[in-house]
Order: sequence, then structure tokens, then C-alpha cells
Amino acid sequence: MLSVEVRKALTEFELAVTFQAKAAETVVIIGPSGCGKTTTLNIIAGLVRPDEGRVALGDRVLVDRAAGVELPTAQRNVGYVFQEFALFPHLTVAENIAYGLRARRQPRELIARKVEEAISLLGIHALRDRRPTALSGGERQRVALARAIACDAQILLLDEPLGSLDAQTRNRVRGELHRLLKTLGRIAVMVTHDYIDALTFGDRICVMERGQVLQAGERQDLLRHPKSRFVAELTGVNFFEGTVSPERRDGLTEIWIGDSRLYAAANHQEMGDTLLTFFPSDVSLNRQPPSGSPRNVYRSQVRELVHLGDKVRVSLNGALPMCAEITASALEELGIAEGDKVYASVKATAVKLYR
Amino acid sequence: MTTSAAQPAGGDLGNKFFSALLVSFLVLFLAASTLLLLSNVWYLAEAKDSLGKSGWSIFVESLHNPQTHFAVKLSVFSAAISALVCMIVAIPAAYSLSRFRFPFSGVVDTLLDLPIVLPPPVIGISLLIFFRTPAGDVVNHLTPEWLVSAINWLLSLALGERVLENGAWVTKGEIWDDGTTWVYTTRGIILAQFFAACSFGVRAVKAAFDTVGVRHEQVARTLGCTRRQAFFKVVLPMARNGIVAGAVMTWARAIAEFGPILFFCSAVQWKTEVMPIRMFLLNAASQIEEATALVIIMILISALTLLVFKRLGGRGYLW
Repeated sequence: MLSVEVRKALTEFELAVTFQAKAAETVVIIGPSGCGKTTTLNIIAGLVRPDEGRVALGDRVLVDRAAGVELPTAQRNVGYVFQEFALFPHLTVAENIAYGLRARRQPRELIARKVEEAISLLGIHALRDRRPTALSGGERQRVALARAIACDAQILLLDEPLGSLDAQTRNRVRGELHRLLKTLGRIAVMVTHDYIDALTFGDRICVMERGQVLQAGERQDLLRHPKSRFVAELTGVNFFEGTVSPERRDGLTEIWIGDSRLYAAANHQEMGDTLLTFFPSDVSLNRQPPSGSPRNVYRSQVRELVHLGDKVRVSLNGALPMCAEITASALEELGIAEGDKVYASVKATAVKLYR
Repeated sequence: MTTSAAQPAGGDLGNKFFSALLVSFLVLFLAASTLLLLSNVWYLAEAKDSLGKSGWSIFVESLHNPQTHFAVKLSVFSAAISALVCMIVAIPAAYSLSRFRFPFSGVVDTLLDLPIVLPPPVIGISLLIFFRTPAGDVVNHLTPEWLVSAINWLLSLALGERVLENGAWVTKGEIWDDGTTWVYTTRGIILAQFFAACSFGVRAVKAAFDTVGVRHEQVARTLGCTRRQAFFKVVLPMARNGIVAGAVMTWARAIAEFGPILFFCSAVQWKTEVMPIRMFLLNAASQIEEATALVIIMILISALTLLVFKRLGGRGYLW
């Protein structure tokens, strides 16, 4: 189990991070660039010293300023994968992977075996004698991972592991990395600004802005109950602040969001301000005004189409700016493009209210 | 074409003319400096001395002159020792500059660059004055005998020329300065070259360290290396080309030094006679053809070092 509770004064703001991870869990720290995510990883790795606080991994204390304990980076046994991978250009792939074991002066047979294990785990046999400059982005990422795990790091630190890959490679590598992390079953802390990464990898998600943790918790919890628009936007959930009106219709709660009206099936009697969310997958799109049950229908305009594998995320402008997620085949059937007019409808049962 | 329609009439021609104007300055300067260097060859080809000897034969003779050999060897060797000492200082200094933040970094930067912009005699005279102060006395007294012997021994490996004088062969230019003083000695050349060239070395090596990202070092540390191991196993190998390029440039800088040596070591034949000093002495004695021979040797050496430097991918503040 990893527990982090640290503070550090940075030039523009104070970093104050607290989170925990259980065995085999992946924690994703998500936030805009420059919010202190990478500094948090550096503190765990011992590359940056916190002003106060404590980082412990199981019963090993990595740093505890109050107790005056500070393990040097070399002894922390962390596997750090940097955004640009930072492979050693003067060494071959196999030598890169063996680097940590050699630095720790392991016996030769052990090094050979561990390197072999890491190479087969990541399926990079063909690359072993190449130099990093001769590798593609995805290949470099795998070598960097192999190097980080070869010496049995207790914890993996991943700084934007998909950030320097092109969009096409990223989708493929995301799946591979997800399976790898599950196979390894170690604690991992990943830093990203991409909510798709957060939703894919994060058993726990920690949302940061300007050094502060806005919200931290299990993925489901964050998805269902984002505490601010910022968190909702990062996790990709539709989020609104509204007011519950005294009117009720057919047993549905009526909520006003600005000048727009929305009905929720939730049995939410209390009047007054409320937060509400619904998932992009609960939004359906039509060319014509839909007939039948859905009450929450909004004339919208397609702002952007983002392809995520076989799903497509559709950002909509309109009275209620929202996101819809539909399958690629549904998109094809609809035949919509950016700038087109559509009707977006949300089932009343999909809307969740909370405060 | 749609793009040309958007341009004002004659714009294309105007642009071409402007580009040509810019390039012409480059071409003119290159032509002028090439002519300047080639004029040495030209002069030798035309020249005749009072005895009717042609410039070329004087040139060839001076190439076989033991005193020229001495000057070339003393230059090459003293500059090599200076460059080595510069690198011993520059590698740790440049690494600190590249990685650590200093208070008053503006002052540090200025002090470091000062020798680059100072007129060369200033360094020479300052050295001379320094050894007339109590601090200089202390340095003279603290200079260990073994260091003097080591430098003398190193120089003796290269120097010393058999010369026929008054019908007898004698060895000239063997440097065995006694005592531990630095002023007006052959080993003083190394001191003068060091202070004149070291700033260049630090700048060049710092540029090399800057190109090695701090990330690689951090990775090495997470993989179990101490700072020291990371420095020797990651930073140095990755910066190797840049460091060698910096060393080559520092050497070239040291071999070109004239002012500091003239003031600190003075111009003594067969003793402190590095190539620039020999050119100076020959010129003063109106032996311009012999001086030209050295000029041509120095041009070749400089061009070669620059070529090596560029080949190694050197960069940074050098001029």
C-alpha cells in the first residue's frame, strides 16, 4: 500500500497532495499541465524533496520530513517512466533494460534472466540489439517500461506515458499498457491530462489543479459524483449546476439549468440548488425531433467529433452544451459532421442528482 | 496562381533583389577573408630577399629550421597540457553551471565570460602583477618541486633540437628551469594559456552538458545509481562528443594565445618561443618570409581543429 501526504512550496503555488493506493492499484493523477503532477511523482521517486510530509510504501518509509527519514532515490526501488522515455542513447535496448540490474551489481546470470523476462513480457525480442534512436515512439515506450520493471520495482511511476505518441499509436498502446499493468499487479501512479487515460487506467483518480487535490477517490465515485465542473470536464462526464423547481410532472423532478429545463427520474424532493450529471453514453442523437418518451430533447449543433476506438465522442453546442458518446456505426448511420444540427435527448432515468 | 495575385505587383522581383542583397554581403565578406589568407601564399610566390632567394625557398628552408620546429612543438605541446588542465577544471565547473542553481548567477556568468572579452594583454599583465604580490609569493613558494619536474619532463619529451652552431652540434631549447617560479619561464606559458582559454572550455563543455537532459540522470538514479555513478556512467558518455569538441576548441584557443604569453613569459628565443611569439620576433627582425611560413602552418592547424570541432558536433559560445 502506498500512502502519500506531502507539501511543497512551488514558485507560483503550494503543492499539497494526499492520496493512497492499495496493492496492485493504479492511481491516476489528472490535471492541467503545470499543476504539480510531475512534481508529485518526483517527490515519490526522491528526485524532489518535500517541505513536509511523508511517503510510505508498505512498511517502508521513503521520506518522512518530521522523522528526518529520506531514502536516496537509488534505494527507493521505484520504476520511473518519463514522458520522453529518456532511454540511454549510447546503449542498446538490452543494455538499457539491464542498466538497473548492473547498477545494483546483480550476478550475471540473474541479469540475463531478468532482461529476458522483461523482453518477453513486452514482446520486444526483435529490438534487443537496436539503439534507441532506431526505435519508433511505441517501441521506445515499451523499452522504457521494460527497463523500469526489470529490476522488480515495487512501484511504477508513469509520467504521461502516452503523451509523446501520435494519436493512432496511442490508442493501441493504451490497451497494451492497461493489460501489462494488470499482469504486473503492482502499484502504479500515472500522471496524465487526458481523461481517457484516467478512465482506462485509474482504479483511483486524483484530480489536481494548481497544486491542490480537487477530488480523489475511486473511479466510479468520481464519475458519478464530480464535485465541480473542472472534475467533470476532466472525467468527461456531462455536469451541470441547476435548481430543483417545485413543479413535478409524471413523478419526475423538474430542474432548471439557466433557461433550459431538464427532467430527472431521481426521487429528489429537496428544492434548491443541485448538481447533476449524466454519462455521454446516455445521450442519444437524432436528425429529426424524436417521437415518444424522451422529454429532455435539445436542439444542438455538432462542435467536434473525437474518435475513441470504436466509439465516437460528439461535443455539442446549444442551450445545454454536452457530450454524447455513440458507436462509430451509429455515427455512420446518422451521417453527421461537425457543424450539423442534431437533436440530443437524455433519458430522465440517466440523470443523477446530488449536492 | 492564386498566391501571386495576392502580392503587390513586382513583389516577387523585389523579394529576389532583397535576398540577393543580403547574400551579397556574405559573399563579399567570404571573398575578402579568403583573399586575406591567400595573400600569404601570393606574397611568398612573388617575394625575393636581398640575396635574390625566392620566397618559396625561404618558406621551405624555414620549414626545416630547427627553431621553427621548436616553436611548433612548444605550441602544440603547451596548448595540449593547457587544454588538459582546462578540461580538468571545466568538466566539473561546467556540470555545476548546467545543473545547479546559483545565487548571483548573473555575477557568476559575467565573471566566467570576462576572460573572453578582456583584451589579452590584461590577462598577461595581471598574472605578472599577481606574482609581485604577497599572494604570488605564496604561490611561488607553495608550487611543489614535483610539479615543476613533471612539467619540465613533459616538455622535454617534445622539445630540444640538435643545432649546428659554429661547426659543433649543440642541443638547444631544452627547458630545465630551476626554482619554482612561474614568471618569465616556459611553464608560465601553460598558466597564461590556461587563464586565457579556460572560459571557452567551460562554455563549450556546459553546452555539451546542457544537451544531455537531466531526465537521463534521474532515470539512472531511480535505477539504483548514485549521483556519482550517474555522472560517470550516463552524463559523461552522453556528453563525450561535446566534451572532446570543447577540448579541441580550448586547445585551438590556447595555441593561438599571444598577448598573455608576451607579457607574462616575455619573448625569449628557444625558451618561450611559441608560434605566435616566433612570428612576432621574426616580424620585428623584418624576416617576413619566415613569419609567413608560420602563418601558413597556423592557418592549417586552425582549419583542421575547426573541422574536427564541427565534425564532433561542437556548439556553444566560442567566439
